[in-house]
Amino acid sequence: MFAWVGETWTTLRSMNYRQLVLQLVSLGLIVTSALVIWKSLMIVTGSESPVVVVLSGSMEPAFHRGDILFLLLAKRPTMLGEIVVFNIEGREIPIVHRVIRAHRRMRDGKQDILTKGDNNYSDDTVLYAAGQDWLHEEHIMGRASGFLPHVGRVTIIMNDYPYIKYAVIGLLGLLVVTSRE
Amino acid sequence: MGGKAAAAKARGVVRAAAAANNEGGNEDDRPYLQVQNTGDIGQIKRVFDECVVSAVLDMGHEELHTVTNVKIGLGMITCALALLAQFYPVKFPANYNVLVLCVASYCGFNTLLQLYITYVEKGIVLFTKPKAGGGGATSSGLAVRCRMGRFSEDVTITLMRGDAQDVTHAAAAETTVNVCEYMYTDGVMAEDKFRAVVEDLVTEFESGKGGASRKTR
Repeated sequence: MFAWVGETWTTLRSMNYRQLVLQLVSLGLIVTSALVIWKSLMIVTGSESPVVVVLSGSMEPAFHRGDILFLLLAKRPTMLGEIVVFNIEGREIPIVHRVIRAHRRMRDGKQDILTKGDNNYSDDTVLYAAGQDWLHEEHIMGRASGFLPHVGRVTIIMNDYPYIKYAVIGLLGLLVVTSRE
Repeated sequence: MGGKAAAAKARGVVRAAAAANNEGGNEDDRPYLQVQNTGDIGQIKRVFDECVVSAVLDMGHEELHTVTNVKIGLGMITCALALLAQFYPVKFPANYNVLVLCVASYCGFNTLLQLYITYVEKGIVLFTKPKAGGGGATSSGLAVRCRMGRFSEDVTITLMRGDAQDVTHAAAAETTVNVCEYMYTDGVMAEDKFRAVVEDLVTEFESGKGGASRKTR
């Protein structure tokens, strides 16, 4: 391990200025390629957050904490029984619950939606903003269309212990910068 | 040809012996060029590339930075496009058009960069500026290519004109050497011995007597 660190340091020191800039640009390209993949997922699915992690147990036994959900947002009305991910004003974390009431106004086609977590006793009226009784289309950021169990636990761990996240990113960055093509 | 090769080899061996007596560095007081893991062909090639580059530059040629600069420029534009997509002040889905534009041009510039590396750089480790006062073969600068097969022990060094990078061109010089002859078992490189090879190659190229002459030592 320490031999590897020494070797890395020697490699870095022996590079001249231009080579170092080139290596940093390569690192930037790798990081931005991950970013662009995320953006293109956003374009393809139509949802502003195409992949989310379930953080609470309010949808058990359908989804558990640590599951990953894939979201789509097609331009159609939300249907009864669908699992939606929505944002509430004043809350920073979106919520994943099931639609238990979906009304559609005849006049303009807009929808009023009520949700409830499968594992909760009451519906989500207590979670909505003060004075808000229904969800509307603009609150919904995606409808669940697929899921991967347990994979999201890594994200939860990295969020609870940020230094693990920084350590992993720093290590990957160092590996890229010191490997010359 | 055989005599010249033998004489150069003898000279290289003598220099290597002198260097071995010189603790901590080689004749010119640089730190050793060393490979940490002698089983890693990538590292070995890198070390040989460095030695070739420094040998050619030490013979009075100046490095031409155009290709590196273009790579850096293209890479920076590509990264900037991605950052623009990320930090654009309008949220999704209102910024849909800008986003599609950024993603498409990111892919375009990335492809451009890869094409540039494959078809313009083509494995060349050094471009040099035309040498002042050098007529004939060096009037356009050098392009030095080092090729090493994936599981091979041989490295091929090719010197070409900077503007006509064709190894069958009249003014090109190429030699293939076995890396085992230029590296000690602990990974330290026999720099002076290898530099002699490179210097011979450059002299041969500059004298215009190139052609597709392949010397294998």
